[in-house]
Amino acid sequence: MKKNKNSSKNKISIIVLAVISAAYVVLYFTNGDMFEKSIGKFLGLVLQIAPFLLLVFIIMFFNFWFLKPEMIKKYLGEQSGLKGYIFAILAGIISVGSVYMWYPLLKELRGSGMSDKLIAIFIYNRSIKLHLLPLMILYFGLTFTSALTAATILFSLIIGFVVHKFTLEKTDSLH
Amino acid sequence: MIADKSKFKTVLNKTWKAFQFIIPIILSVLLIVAFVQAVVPVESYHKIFTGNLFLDPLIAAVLGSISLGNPIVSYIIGDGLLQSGVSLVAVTAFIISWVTVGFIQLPAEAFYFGKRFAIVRNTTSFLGAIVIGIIIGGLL
Repeated sequence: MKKNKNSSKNKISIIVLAVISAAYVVLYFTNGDMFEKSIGKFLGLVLQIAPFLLLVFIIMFFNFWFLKPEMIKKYLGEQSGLKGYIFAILAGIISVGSVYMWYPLLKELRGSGMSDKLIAIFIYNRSIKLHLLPLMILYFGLTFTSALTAATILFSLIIGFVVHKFTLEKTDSLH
Repeated sequence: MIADKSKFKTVLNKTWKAFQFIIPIILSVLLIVAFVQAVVPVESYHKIFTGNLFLDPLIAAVLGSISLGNPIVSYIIGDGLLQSGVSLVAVTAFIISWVTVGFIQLPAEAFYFGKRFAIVRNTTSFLGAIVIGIIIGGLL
C-alpha cells in the first residue's frame, strides 16, 4: 500500500517535471533568447547545488544507518521539550543546501515522531547561513547581522507555535 | 561483519530510493527558478519602492518571497537597494523573506507536509518578514 502511494507520488513528480520541460521546449521555439538565458541560469543552479546534493545523500545515508525512531521521539518528538527546540534550531542553522532537498528527510523524521512545530522551526532557522555570515557582515555590518540572527531564532519559535496551532486539528495532504 | 555488509547494502538501497524520489522535484523547482531569474531583471527591483514604512516592506516581502536563489544574491540586491536609497526596513524584509518564504516551492512543501502546513508556514513567515523588517529597520 505504502509502496503504491510512493510510486504514484514519484509518477506525479515526473509528470510535473515533464510539463515544465515541455514549457521550456515551447519557450525554445517562441523566444530563443529567453530560453538560452533560462537554461544558462538553470545549468548554473544545478552546478551550484550538485555538491550539496552529495552531502544530503551522505547525511540521509547516516540518518538511515544511525537514527532510530526512539531517538527522534526523544530529541524532536512531541515530548522532547526544551531539548527539541534547541536541537531543531541548531540543526536548522548547521544544515546546508536548498531547503527542498531536506523535505524527504524531514518527512521521514515526521513519520518517526518529529512534530510539525519543530519541522517549522527547523525550516525557519535554515535562513541563518553560517557560511554566509561573514558576507552579510561585510554588506550590512555586525550589528545588523547579530540583530537579524537573533530575531530569526526568536521568530522561528513563534512560527513553530502558529504552525502547531493550525495543524493540530487536521493534517491534510495533496493526496 | 556479514551483517554490517548486509546492513550497508540495505541502507544504501533505502537512501538511493529516497534520493531518486527528490531528483525530479529538485529539477522542476530549478527550472522554474531559472525562468523567474531570467524574466525578472535585477534593475527592476530599484523602481518599485516609494519610501512608505508599511508598503515598502510589504512589496519587499512579496519580491523576496518569489525570488528564489542563493542568499548571496539577496545580499547583493539588498546592498544595491540600500545604495539606491531604499529603506533598511524594506531591505530587511526582502532578505529575510528571500530565505524564509518559498511560494514557488509551495507545491513541493505541500507535497511532503500537506497543504495546511505549507500555507500556514509560508503565510506566517511572510508576515514575520514584514514584522522583522519594521522592528530591525526601525531600531537600527
